[in-house]
Amino acid sequence: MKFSNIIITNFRSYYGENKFEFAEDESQPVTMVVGNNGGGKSSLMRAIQWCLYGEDIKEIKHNESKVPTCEVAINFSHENNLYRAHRRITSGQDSFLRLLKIDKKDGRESGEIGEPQLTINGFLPIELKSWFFYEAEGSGAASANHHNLLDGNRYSKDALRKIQGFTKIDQLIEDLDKIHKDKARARVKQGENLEAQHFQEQIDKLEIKLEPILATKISADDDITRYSEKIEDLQEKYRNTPSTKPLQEEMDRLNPQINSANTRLLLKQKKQKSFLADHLVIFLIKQLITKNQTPKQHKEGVQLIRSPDNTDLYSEIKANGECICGTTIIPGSSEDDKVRKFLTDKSKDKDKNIFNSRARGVETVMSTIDLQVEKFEKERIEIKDDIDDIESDIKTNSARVAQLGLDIEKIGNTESKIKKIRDNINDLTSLQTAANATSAKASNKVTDIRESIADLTRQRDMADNNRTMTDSLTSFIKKIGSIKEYVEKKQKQDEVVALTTLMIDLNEAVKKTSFANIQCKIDSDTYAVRVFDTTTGEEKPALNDGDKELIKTCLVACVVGQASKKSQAKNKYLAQATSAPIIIDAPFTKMDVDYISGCVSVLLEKTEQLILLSLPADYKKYEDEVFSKLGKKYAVVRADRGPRNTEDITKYKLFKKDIDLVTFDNVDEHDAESVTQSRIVEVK
Amino acid sequence: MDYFEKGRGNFWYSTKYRDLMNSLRHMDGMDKIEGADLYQGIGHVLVMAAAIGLSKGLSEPVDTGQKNRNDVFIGGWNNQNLHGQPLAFWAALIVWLEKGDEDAPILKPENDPELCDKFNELAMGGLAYLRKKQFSSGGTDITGYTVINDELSAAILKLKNKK
Repeated sequence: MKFSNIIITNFRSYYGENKFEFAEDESQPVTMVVGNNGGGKSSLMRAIQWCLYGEDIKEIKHNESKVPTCEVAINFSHENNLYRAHRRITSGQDSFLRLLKIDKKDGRESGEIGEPQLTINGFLPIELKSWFFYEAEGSGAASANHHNLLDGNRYSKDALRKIQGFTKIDQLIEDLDKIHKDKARARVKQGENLEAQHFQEQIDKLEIKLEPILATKISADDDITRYSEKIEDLQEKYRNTPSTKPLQEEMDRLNPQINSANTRLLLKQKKQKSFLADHLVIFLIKQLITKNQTPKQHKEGVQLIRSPDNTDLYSEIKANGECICGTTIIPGSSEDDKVRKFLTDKSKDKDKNIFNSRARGVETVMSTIDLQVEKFEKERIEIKDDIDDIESDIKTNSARVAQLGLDIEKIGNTESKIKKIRDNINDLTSLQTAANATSAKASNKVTDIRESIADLTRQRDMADNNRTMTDSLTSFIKKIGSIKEYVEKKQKQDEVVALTTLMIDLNEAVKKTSFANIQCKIDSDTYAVRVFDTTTGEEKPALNDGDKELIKTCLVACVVGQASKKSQAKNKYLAQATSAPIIIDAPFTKMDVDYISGCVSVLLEKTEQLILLSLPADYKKYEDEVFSKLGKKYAVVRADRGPRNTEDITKYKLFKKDIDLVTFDNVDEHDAESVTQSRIVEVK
Repeated sequence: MDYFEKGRGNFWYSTKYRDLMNSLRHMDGMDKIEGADLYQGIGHVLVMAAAIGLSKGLSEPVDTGQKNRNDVFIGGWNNQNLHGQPLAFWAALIVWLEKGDEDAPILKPENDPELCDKFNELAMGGLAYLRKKQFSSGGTDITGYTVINDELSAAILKLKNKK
């Protein structure tokens, strides 16, 4: 499938008829559409999807109250034929799709296809559209099937197999099996071999028994996938739902810290004041002391007025029994008492000692003052630094608490929402466990029954082999059996080759984007993409949004690339792959800028027709890479009724030209309430 | 050994400065926090006030028979310290500096009544100065701390200029 052009009439922001061509040339296969947010890029993608599949899209019509109908027509080629898909909706009615065959020579309608939706689904099945019409930004419906793309599931696997055409071969194998069984049954009936017929009856009974069990298993498997997807969605929602609990906990932790810091600050400030007040005395006195000033008397006093200590002299007099003046001293006599008192009583020196002590104290205080003056600045700064540190802590923590308060207010009460999500996850996990058990039980039964059928078939054939094997029915059965065996074998080989090729392509594509340290492996059972670090050999547990977008885009490009005509010719699979243009809305928005050019080159290499709907800023990131491949260049211009304010209109340098993406020229004299419109303008 | 003995002289302050003494000591205008007084005791406030009186050349004549006075326990002057030195030595230093006599007879115990009186005169002069300054703040300096801080800044500046 390759798009030639599209005509959009009154669809969403597109008013009137808007027709434009898609790039089809192999050397320049890219159609580039650049526009601002809200300009109409996504509406273009929706228009294509609505035309082909008629999905329920809100506000399909431009200005519902004014326009009676809206329609989108796409001209495209498929398998060397030309078609026009044309969908139209009129107020109050369902949309109506026509699929017309177009004559290659004169471009006129040459016939109408009876089952248009079925036919289009045959060209590009609806379940595969998200692989080709890819909303990279991840906000739209089309991206819903993609956000778990790398995690792998049955739908992803089915989709990948379907794109590569393997599901058609599955159907073929099933049909061949049915024919083989029917013919074998007919042969037994024809042969009238009672033993063989007995076995056949048992086989038929088991076949009947198998059907509901298979249905149960398929249903259980569907449930498992459905629950799994729902659980993943809820888990993502759970991860993305902001909780006030950790914020509240942080706040509860910080508040006592702030209170404690405030108390410490108050104490420290008082200590600071006390420190300064105590030093007032120091500085006041220091300025009054002249250099080397000391109480002179004190110095002399220390040397001259000693505390008399005549105890030894008295002991000597007492021992000699005679004073130095010649007086006889009798122990216990009044003379002895007089001499003892005179020589040992220190009370008369007390005042001198006090004076000395004071003078020495005054001198010590003066040296203390000198010392304190020297230490003052250092201690003052230390105290100030302590206060600054505490104040800084309080300021930081208070700002954080204020922010937490605002965040908590903004988030509101999300705890009940979180609990609900968690409960839903638990409920779904229980359901998934039950579905797993049902599936496993059914699977065992299916295996048992199939083994029994195989055993009975062998016994039937042995019983039946007594007959002559030359009749035409037997020959037909043998042929069908051989064909089925070949197709099954080839299908298995093709699938192994396809998966291996896809893995090689994906790793080459990822490597091209300079993302050199990872290797992707695709699980053959689930088709999940597992990403390994090549330096450590360990699986990467979580990828950021940019890396995810990169790998997803590479995977989509590689899958679509495998389905391209070029790859089909090379691979020679039995199956015929689905080929369609790839449209990416808002590509590379989350991707690291270093990887974009590599990713663009992968897309250019793998796809036959590429339509990119990009924001101006994003487009500028990869303009150099893509410019030479641009077959068609468009700007989506938003046309407003008139400037409503004085905002500056940003001019863009797009496609090497200056382009306005907003105009004010849609004033309609007959339509006083004209609203914003989108126009697609080709840039040549 | 006691540096001052009861009976030889008394340290005291006039009751008219009681509120100022208390607010300076406790910083009553602020939330009270245990162990965070501006000054450790009344004696410390008086030493500071006397230092101001000395530096400003202010003193208030003392009537020894004055009834409206609060005595400050004399023993405290021997036991309480300022920067590790007994308050008694600070009082002695202040009075000795005021006297300017190198022989320092004022330090002799027999002159204690004169030393105490001189100290009290200087302290009252300092308190009168602080009160005046506090009043002139127009009620913004409830605790008297602003005056203290201003005086400290001025003293530091003066000392720097002196160098």
